[in-house]
Amino acid sequence: MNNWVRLLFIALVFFHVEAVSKQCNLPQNLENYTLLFRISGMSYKVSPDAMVFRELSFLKYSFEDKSLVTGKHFKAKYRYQLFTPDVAFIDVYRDEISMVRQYRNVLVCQSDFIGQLIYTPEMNISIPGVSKSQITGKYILRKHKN
Amino acid sequence: MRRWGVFILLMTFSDLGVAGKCQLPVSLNGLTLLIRVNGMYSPNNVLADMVLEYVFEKKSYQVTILNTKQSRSGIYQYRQLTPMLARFSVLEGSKAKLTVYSNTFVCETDTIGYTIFSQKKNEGVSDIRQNTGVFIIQK
Repeated sequence: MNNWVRLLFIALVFFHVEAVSKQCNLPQNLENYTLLFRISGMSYKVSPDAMVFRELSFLKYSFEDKSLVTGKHFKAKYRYQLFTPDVAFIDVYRDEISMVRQYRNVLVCQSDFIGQLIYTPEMNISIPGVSKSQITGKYILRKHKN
Repeated sequence: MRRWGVFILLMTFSDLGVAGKCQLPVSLNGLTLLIRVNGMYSPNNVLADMVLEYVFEKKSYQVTILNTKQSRSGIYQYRQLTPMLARFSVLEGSKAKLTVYSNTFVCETDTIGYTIFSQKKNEGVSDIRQNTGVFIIQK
């Protein structure tokens, strides 16, 4: 009985803490959002994009990825999934036929507009100018003006 | 239009086939976790460059800063969101001096990966900040 009371107490405390600590929310979908992000760290062979700002502009199923330093850009498909109000991921695919994922960005918000991300590339897939190993970065999320 | 339909369908189930190259544990009970905090020292990153050792039991843990040997303990909840994504939420200290934070893990292999530390409260005071680090799971 004591164990049950203890477990219930812990569950209630966590429920309360979760409720009061939800101080940020990621959007339900990314349509018409722009994600500006910067990979942290020093620029080196496995992370040529370090310290470079990139801008991702999202439509319903596709987005454009643009380096704000070099101006290089490409279009790709994506899938966005929200797990909790403050944790989500974006999977980026090369094309709709092969369904090979290029990379995954896991977002954890700090406020409704900023947060940290973990960039995880798929092994054996090389994209010019994009990191080949897991790395972190900071992001800013903005809604497009239509 | 049909291609879009196929694409959406494939994306919905793509995690079943494409993901899963690394797997985070289902439970932290009995595991030891090392976290090296990234970045430079600042008031928002007081543990920069330090290594934290978490030793987990079923509902509780002890964390030791290996550089200073300081230890704290608390209770936690761990939730695996996908095989490669998990989060543990933490309550450290008690009542007025409660510290509330979470670590979100993304694995690169079954034993290493990156984590995002998100703090909500520090010793009872609202103190919202984030940092990142590298983790190693020791079984």
